[in-house]
Amino acid sequence: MTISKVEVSPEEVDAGAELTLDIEVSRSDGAGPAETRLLIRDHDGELAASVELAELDGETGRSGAFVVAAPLEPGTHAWSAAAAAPGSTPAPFSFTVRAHETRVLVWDAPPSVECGETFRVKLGARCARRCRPVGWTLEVRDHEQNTLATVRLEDQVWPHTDALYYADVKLRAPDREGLYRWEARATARGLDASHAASVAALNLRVMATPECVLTVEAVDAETQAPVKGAQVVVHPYRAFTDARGVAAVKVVEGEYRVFVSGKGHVPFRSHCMVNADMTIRAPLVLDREPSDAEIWS
Amino acid sequence: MARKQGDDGNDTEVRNENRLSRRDFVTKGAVAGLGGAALAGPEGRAQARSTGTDDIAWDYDVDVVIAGGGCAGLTAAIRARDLGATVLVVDQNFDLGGRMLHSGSFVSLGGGDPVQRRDMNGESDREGFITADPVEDPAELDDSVDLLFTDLTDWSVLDRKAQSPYRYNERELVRAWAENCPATRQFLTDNYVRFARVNGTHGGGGLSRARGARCFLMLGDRTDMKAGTITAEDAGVADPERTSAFAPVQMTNMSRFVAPGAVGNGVALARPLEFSAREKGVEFMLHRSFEELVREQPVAGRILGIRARYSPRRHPETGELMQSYWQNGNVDERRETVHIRARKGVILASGGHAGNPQVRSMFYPAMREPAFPTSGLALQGQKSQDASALIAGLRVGANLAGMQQNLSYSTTFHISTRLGTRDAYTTMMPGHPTFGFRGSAGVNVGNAGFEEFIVVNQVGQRFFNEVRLPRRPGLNAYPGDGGAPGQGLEHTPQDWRNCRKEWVQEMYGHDHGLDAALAMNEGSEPPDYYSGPIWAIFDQDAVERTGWELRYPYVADNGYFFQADTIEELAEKIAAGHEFQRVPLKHLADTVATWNRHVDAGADPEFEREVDAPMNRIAAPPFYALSIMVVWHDSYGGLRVNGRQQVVDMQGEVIPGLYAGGEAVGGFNKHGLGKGHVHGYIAGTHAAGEPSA
Ligand SMILES: Cc1cc2nc3c(=O)[nH]c(=O)nc-3n(C[C@H](O)[C@H](O)[C@H](O)COP(=O)(O)OP(=O)(O)OC[C@H]3O[C@@H](n4cnc5c(N)ncnc54)[C@H](O)[C@@H]3O)c2cc1C
Repeated sequence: MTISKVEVSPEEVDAGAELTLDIEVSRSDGAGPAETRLLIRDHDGELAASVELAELDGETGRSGAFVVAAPLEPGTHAWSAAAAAPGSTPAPFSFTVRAHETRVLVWDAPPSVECGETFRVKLGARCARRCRPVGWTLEVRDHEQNTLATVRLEDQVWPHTDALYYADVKLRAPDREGLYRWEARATARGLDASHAASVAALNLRVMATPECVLTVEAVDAETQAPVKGAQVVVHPYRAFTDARGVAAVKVVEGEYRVFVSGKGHVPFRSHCMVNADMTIRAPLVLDREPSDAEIWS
Repeated sequence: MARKQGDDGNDTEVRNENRLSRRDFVTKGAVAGLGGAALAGPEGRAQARSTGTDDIAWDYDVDVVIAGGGCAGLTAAIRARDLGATVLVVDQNFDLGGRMLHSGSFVSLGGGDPVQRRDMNGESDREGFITADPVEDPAELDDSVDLLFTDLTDWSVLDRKAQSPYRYNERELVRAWAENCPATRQFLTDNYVRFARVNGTHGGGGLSRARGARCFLMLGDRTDMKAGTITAEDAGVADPERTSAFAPVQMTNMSRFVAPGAVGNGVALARPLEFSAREKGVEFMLHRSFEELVREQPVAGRILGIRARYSPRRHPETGELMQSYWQNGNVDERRETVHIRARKGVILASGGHAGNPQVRSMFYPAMREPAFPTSGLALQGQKSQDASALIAGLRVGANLAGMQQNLSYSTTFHISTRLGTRDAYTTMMPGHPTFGFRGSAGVNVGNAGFEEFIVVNQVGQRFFNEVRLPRRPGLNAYPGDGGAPGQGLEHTPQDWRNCRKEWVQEMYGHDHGLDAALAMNEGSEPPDYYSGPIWAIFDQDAVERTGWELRYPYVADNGYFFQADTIEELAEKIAAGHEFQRVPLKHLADTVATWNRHVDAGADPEFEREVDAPMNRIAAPPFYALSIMVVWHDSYGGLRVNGRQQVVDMQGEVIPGLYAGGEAVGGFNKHGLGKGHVHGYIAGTHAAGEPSA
């Protein structure tokens, strides 16, 4: 009996995922296959699966589709299929194993920090095949690839997500002002070969110690009532107004564009030079739906 | 009424007698249209018969057949019936009202119409429902037919896109329209339609005076069109997240323009008209798509009738044939094809072509993109706005008019602020049987909401300053004090200074985001080079900032909303789950990373967003995508008609027995209902007045 065809699908498979094989056999003397069992061996000759022929009709036979687990090692794998009878000639076949794509994420980084300040960010990892990355170590590296912090992922899934595992990490800002491009990545520790992890950017804006307080009072332009929860952006500083409609933003002296917006309001915009404590009143216009008359006149 | 040909060939009377006498017809008929103009095409042609049409076995035989039971169609039907004609309306939908039922019911007429006069005199309505004071100054209501005509043919007015809304209007059509506005307002009022206070003017209705009023019903303990009341359940106001089979769109509070307890929208216009039509004996063949006109000869002779095909609309979940809210007057006909003889005339009132991507692409090739539908898709179905009148008219030799006016209307096509639904122009909640066709109501983020996300094309690339994307160009503008009700009335119509270059430069105000959205991108492939869908991409922080409710019925698992743990997964889900996403969003992850760098740098070198609004990182999981729709709302080009709404052929001759109105006709850049009702009124008048063939 000879193996006439081995169908492998998919040709590229995720590590450890299901690989479907379908094997066709034939007998050259036309007497039909006497042997009905096939053995599948991996690249080391280890037995990966054995299967009985499901369809036999005289000269040919077929295993039908059956599933084996793909190896965990990424790369091209050369396997073979042969009849179980001793001395049978094995037929080689190959396929490619891909590492699981794994994303590293960084979030909740403050929009700006003061020189030397400590701050916290969240680090997370998500395997495209939803593996639990518990025990993996993630690290933060600075712009010169120095490791600043490492953290081990526990069994904590971030709210509202499917399988994003995360941890909290404390970091210290550099002593000099600037926009730093740091990164977060998975280390080899814990991360098995079957996962290819990405690198996530962590952009850090380091500022001198602020000297001034810019107070923003957000009010509804029509009623003059305070607007709670409006976002104040004085790049790179950010804040939200409190119940009194007030946000106090500590800033370094300088010229700023101030935006106050959100909660359904048209953005209020102002330019200001800040060289002492100052207050801006931001009358916010509601972004009401245009009336038919306005839309269609 | 409609005479059905039995299988044996004998006529079977299916409805009772006409109720109006010949005398009624003569007196009422005199109101409409252009006095004295010719009624039909050249003699002789109308006598000709081809063997082809001789062979037709007519299944039904009536005086007037109307294709489409919406704004123009229902009006024409009632009018023709009032004048003594037997009338059969065929509509492809399962219920009546067309887009009128979906509409805001803002009907702009004028010329000194009864509602303008009522408000000018500070009076209430006939039933005394209105207790609110008039909204407009008497001077803003002091209108005349001549002023209305002047306004709607003013060559000098430009909008903020520098397009001319009135210059290209057909003069005869506008004159007849203006003359019939007052009578039409009265007619609608006589058919149970109640108008609130006049408030401004609706699109294309002329700037000089306030001419638009919305329709209302009063909340009460029963739904009764005669009494003018509706229950909270039927009005869709009993539950903020539920509407009813009666009102596909929840009605809105009209107390400012009427009195406490008043609610309004297209329901308060379409349902009273439908009720009246059924009461008067108009008959309706629903689930029936008009396909073809039957003319004596291919492009000569009289229009004899129509051929119409069964177009069953089935419930999106149960698959059962959907039923109209009211049934009286319905003709239950399920044969595949029927021929309906029209003894007096056929009126084409089946709407425009905004829902036919192949047709609309003649104005804007990029709008061949089928991902973007016209408004009201769920309620109306795929066959609505499919250019059926235009196609059938062209086959019998009709001419076209005002095709370029599709583009000279400032908001005909725009980017909707309602995201996460395909039917993005319209609101609808569960409770109406067609809700399942859209699956989600959508999330209206408003213009302001666009600062909360980035917008990407089908390959995941940004293409415009997001906060400018949904902005629509503003009103038409005269120099001086505005020249519009509520803004001052000082202006000189038809004055060259209105479109003087310096003035246009001053008032121009249009962002071309929509064109960027429709532009070719890496994923656009020949021969159509579709631009593909567009997506709002944001993170959990944006949800927390805004409080957007990303849950049913606002969003659903219907391919128009996605959530994922990572941006890469989000891109995969969109690619796998959206019906028009033809290519992977291969740039999305890079785009988000680049955007986050821009946010941290405080500047967006690509689209300068930092100038208009704050920028926020997209970093906090999970991540979201909501579909954004380019909406082609309505059409302005269409069949050429004269002042009697008779369709005119390419030689300038009337096609005898053929009328058209509403969005089916061209040459009149007037938005929506105001146009359709008057067209219907005129067409109904003249069709009923034709000699019986
Ligand atoms: C959400 C929304 C809000 C709107 N608000 C306003 C507003 O406030 N003011 C305003 O002036 N305008 C408004 N409009 C526009 C207005 O509703 C339309 O312009 C108007 O209804 C057009 O009238 P019509 O008679 O041409 O078409 P429709 O009213 O749409 O009626 C056409 C009818 O023909 C039927 N039909 C289509 N094809 C066929 C066929 N082949 N055979 C048989 N039947 C067919 C349809 O089912 C439909 O019932 C709005 C539209 C929408 C969607």
